[in-house]
Amino acid sequence: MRKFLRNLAQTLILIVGITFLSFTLSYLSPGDPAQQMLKRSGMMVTEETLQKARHELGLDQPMLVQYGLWLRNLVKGDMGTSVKSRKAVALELGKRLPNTALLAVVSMLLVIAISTPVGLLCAWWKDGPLDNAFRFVTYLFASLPSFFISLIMMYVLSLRLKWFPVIGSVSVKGIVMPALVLSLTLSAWYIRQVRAIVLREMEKGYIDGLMSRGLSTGSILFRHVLRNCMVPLVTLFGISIGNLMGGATIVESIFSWPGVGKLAVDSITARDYPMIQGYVVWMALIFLAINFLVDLSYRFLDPRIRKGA
Amino acid sequence: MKRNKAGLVISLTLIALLALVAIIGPNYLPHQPFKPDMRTALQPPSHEHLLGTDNLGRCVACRIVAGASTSLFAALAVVAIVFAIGTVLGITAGYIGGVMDHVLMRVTLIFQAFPSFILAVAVAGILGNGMGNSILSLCAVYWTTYARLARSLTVSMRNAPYIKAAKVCGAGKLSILFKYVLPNVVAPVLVTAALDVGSVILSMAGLSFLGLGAVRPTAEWGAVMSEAKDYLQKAPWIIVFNGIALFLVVTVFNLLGDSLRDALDTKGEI
Repeated sequence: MRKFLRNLAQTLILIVGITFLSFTLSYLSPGDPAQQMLKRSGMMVTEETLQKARHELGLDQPMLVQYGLWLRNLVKGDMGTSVKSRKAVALELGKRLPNTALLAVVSMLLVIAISTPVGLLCAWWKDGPLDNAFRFVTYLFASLPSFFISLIMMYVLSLRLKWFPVIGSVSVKGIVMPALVLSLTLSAWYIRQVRAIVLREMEKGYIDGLMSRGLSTGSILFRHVLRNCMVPLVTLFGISIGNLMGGATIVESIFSWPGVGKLAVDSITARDYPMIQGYVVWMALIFLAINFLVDLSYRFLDPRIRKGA
Repeated sequence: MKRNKAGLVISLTLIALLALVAIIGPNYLPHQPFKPDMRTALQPPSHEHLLGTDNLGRCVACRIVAGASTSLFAALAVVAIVFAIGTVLGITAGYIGGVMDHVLMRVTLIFQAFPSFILAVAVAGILGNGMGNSILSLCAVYWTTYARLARSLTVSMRNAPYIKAAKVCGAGKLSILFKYVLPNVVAPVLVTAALDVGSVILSMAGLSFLGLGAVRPTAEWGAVMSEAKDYLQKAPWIIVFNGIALFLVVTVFNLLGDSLRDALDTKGEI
């Protein structure tokens, strides 16, 4: 319990840090929100009206006070108004978030389905033909930018073979290409990590015991080794969610997948600072929440942690 | 071991070649890389234009050579900056300890709480496009690894006999830090730096692809590919050749990182 409280306190510090850093970024942004607001409302921009608008927006306050005000609004769910669409930032993000979540879940399932068995088998037949082949493939993928893979895939599958539409829509056909690109690039990294984790596990004595008892390879790998590797594998999952969210910005904008990543890129083009700020804060908080859940899950995956704590 | 030495020699040779092409290559181009010529627009690879031409009739091969230096120097700048800042902050905090150490570790954790590419996109997006800002944004992402690594290595050697001996002999804090701690920290941090160059090049190209890095008419590869995606159907060769160039460069740097790690044998520490 004390450990849990300490974790919670550390998470709170992190949340304050994340929001402060995000706020500072926008604080440093070159645009003047007061001027923008006046222009939008069609009022004359004079020194006097500017002063008044700055006062109304709280821009004449010291930075820390501004941060406090902003944080209070954030807790209330008010993240400001989008400069571009003039709708609430939280609303716009909330509308797009399910699409990104769907893409992330599908991609992650693909990654797990591809890389867990491949990683296990590569470790089992270390330096064998399968291991060497995948070492080569993963090496290649580690050096390929995801936008290059996306564009090649788009050229072959959409433009030449015409299997998938060029402009993505939220449908089975629309999700295939973005999910494939995300999961292929991430799998390349994942396979190497799984292989390393499993190799470390296989040095342990109980593997020899299982083998001498005549258990099949499949049973040893998938019933015993895999279960004992769960904690590091789940940690990996927590880390890679961040990669997935970052990769989604590029992949979503290429395939026109209407998620938060595409929204962010469009907002940057439109210099829509409140939107960018809202996006960063949300992504960091979601990333944090997922990793908090990952930490909690150890207790269920490993009885030693449950009893030891 | 022998194979790794070979890898080191090969990758260093290739990088030297690459640097040569990036630096003096632009002076020996058969065509103007930045001058539009609509008569030759969107031509497929031919004898005249080995890798074809783009939508403005510019030679793709020439533009790849002209853009090489942008990607390379930007990536090297990022790695050099985070290497310097991270190492100095890390060893200072690790050696002095106390409040400074605590604060530094907290700050790195806060930076790492952001999904890395999203942090880069946000910083570059808010500061505005341009090479300088995207270099800054990648520094914001990468410095934490170096600070944490340098710090943990320093903490592990803080009570080593040779540090104690230096202290007994009356060496000052600064001289201990830079004469005794730093040399022992540099090797593993350098390996991390070498391993990161490839990923920095990729991130930089990604930022440029999103329109956040290099501005036109620079021939930075990511930016070129972003421009060329509208001509994917008519002129796929622009994307293919720029992508291959990017891929080869990243592979060479990854090879260097891997062989350097094996040669210096710091596997256990990273």
